[in-house]
Amino acid sequence: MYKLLLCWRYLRTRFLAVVCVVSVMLGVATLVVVNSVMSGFSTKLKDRLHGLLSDIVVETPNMNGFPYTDDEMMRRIAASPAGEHIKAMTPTIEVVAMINFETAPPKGKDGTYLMLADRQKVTRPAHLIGIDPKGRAAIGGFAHHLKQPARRDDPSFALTPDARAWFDLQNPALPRLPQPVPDGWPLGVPPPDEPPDEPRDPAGMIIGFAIASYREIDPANGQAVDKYMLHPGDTVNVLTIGTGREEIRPVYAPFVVADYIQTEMAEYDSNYVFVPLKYLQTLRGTPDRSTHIQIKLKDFSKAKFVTSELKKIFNDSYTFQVNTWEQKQGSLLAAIDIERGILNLLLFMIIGVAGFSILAIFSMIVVEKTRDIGILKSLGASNQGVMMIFLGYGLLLGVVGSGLGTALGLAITFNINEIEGWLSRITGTAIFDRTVYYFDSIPTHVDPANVVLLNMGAISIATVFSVLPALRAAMLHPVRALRFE
Amino acid sequence: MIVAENLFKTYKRHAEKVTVLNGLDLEVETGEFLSIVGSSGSGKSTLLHLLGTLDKPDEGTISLNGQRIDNLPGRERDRLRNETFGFIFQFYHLLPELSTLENVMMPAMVGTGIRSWFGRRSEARRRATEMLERVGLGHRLKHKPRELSGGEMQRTAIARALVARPRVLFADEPTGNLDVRAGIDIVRLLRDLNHDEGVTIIMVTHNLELVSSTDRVLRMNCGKIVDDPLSPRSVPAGLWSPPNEFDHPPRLHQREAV
Repeated sequence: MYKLLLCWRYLRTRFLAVVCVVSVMLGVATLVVVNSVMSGFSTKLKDRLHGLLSDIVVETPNMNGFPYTDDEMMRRIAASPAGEHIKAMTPTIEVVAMINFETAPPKGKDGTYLMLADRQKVTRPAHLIGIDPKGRAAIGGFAHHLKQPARRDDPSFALTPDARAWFDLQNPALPRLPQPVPDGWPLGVPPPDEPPDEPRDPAGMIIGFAIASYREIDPANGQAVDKYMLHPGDTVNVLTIGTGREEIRPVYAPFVVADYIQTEMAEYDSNYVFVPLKYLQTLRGTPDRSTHIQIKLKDFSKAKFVTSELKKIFNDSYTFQVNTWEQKQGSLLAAIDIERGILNLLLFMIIGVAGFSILAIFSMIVVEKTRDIGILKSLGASNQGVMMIFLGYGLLLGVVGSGLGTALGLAITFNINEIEGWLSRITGTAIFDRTVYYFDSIPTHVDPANVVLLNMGAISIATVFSVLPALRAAMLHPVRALRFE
Repeated sequence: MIVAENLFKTYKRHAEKVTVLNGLDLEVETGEFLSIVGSSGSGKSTLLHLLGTLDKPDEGTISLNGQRIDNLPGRERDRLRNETFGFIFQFYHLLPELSTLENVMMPAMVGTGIRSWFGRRSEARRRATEMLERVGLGHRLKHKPRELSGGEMQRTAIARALVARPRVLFADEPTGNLDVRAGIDIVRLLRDLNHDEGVTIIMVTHNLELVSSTDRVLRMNCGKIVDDPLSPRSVPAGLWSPPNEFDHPPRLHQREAV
């Protein structure tokens, strides 16, 4: 009991203890914040990677597509032992393409578009993906990246009325030649009803946000703003590879922008262009043939089993490649984990430094308390009991420091964007440049297990570094201790 | 009864060996109030430390009621100091972070585990309060040592030394840091406690004016009890005076036969 009492009193009355507590607190707070931010980036990156990749992908490198039709492929997959674990499937085509478009006309001072002004022509490569929007949305990770809120609930390539109007404005119907008047038609009488204009239903396109726009800093207020080069209703010409015949040939078609997709992943937002699957298959001359089957599982823990079963039924490992999303992004994910592991190790050295300060300060406290140790031994305290006082003191310092550090770290983490804004205003430089990361805010993710581990590590370090001074205290000779000045 | 036989104790100071106790023999009766006097460096405090098992002799034996205590294992030595012995030091040696009451409760806390403490806590508090009231500090229970005078701190130390009802109390220069008046009060208190509680007290002092309250005075010189031809028990109380070169033989105090 005397050990607990003395530990607590030493903590409350010794200024040096505050120094130890602060050093542990700052180390733990730093680790909590850095881990939360790294985890936020990592989680967001994994979500984005997983978001546009389904749980499992069956793909072929052959641009002609699978040897089987889409329906046959999905029937075989559903009929396999893996079928019961599959929640949804959809076929897609992924091919290389070149796209070409004119940038949106500039706006005049009154805010209207100057339709007759010169417009820039842009030609660039893109990754063309043919999808069925509803099927793709069922796989997950697609619909909620669409910019138009209404389209997220009901994904499609249909144009909104505004987009349609903008398209019509830029692509007026060609004037039709007057119809020949039938012989003997009386003068001054209107000719018979003309056939209506043929409707124009251009195929829609969902384009990567970074293809259609760019981000710059508004000099007026320092905020990042998005400047659009393409609006819904603008036309994008696509040149891709048709393989329906024996020779490869280019195929070409215009599409109309229906919406943007913004995943906040530069790799996708600046390359991916989605078009209707059936239209693309027809265009390329490969009806009912796809290059990918995207699979969504009921439980991702079954991924290994499903992958192995699919490899059994599609056992030509060149024509059919079956991978989980993690395997497809293995190197990138591994790089993230390695980076995080190394950063944690380096930052833990901060707590190691705090541990050495505890060692130094405790050694001083033991010297300061030499006479008290002599008193305790004269009252019958054992060497072990004296040692436990200082070990307990180190443990208590670690607990208090870790607790305060966790609270401080969490407070910073949950208010990190406000703190970043304040620091940016004070220093005049953007701490977190939103044009670089394409995130609107600093992502954070607090992992409770990680925080608990951090605390345990910090408490362990504080306790371990108090062992040596505690041993010294325990081994003090009572008479020499009593006579110490 | 404490018996010390042929005690030797040597310290190494730098490259030199200093023999502090040189074949000392001593017997202390149960309930006796013994004072040991001598010049600085005569080995008084060292003798006290050996008797109180704070240190071990190089040679010789120490027994308490017929049982050797100089060779006890560590845990039993600790228990002996907690339950059987009490210590009072010249510089009080109170724990500065604890209140007066907590300082006096410390022997009970040291001797009790955490689980059993909750059952003993109120009894320990009651006993500590009683001892503090006994030494005249019932109104200073919550004060810290820095808020007490020298005499009050020494009284607190006495209360702490006696709270566990020890059989032997070792007092090493208990008045060394006090003024004359306070010193006299302390020794009187010790005497009263010796009479009332029956505790054996061995007091080391170089203040020769205080030893008149004790039962017996022994003088140390060069690590030994000076072999005085006059038996200390044969001198009536109140007749002791400090020995000097003109006194022969020196006269010693002795309380009248119990």
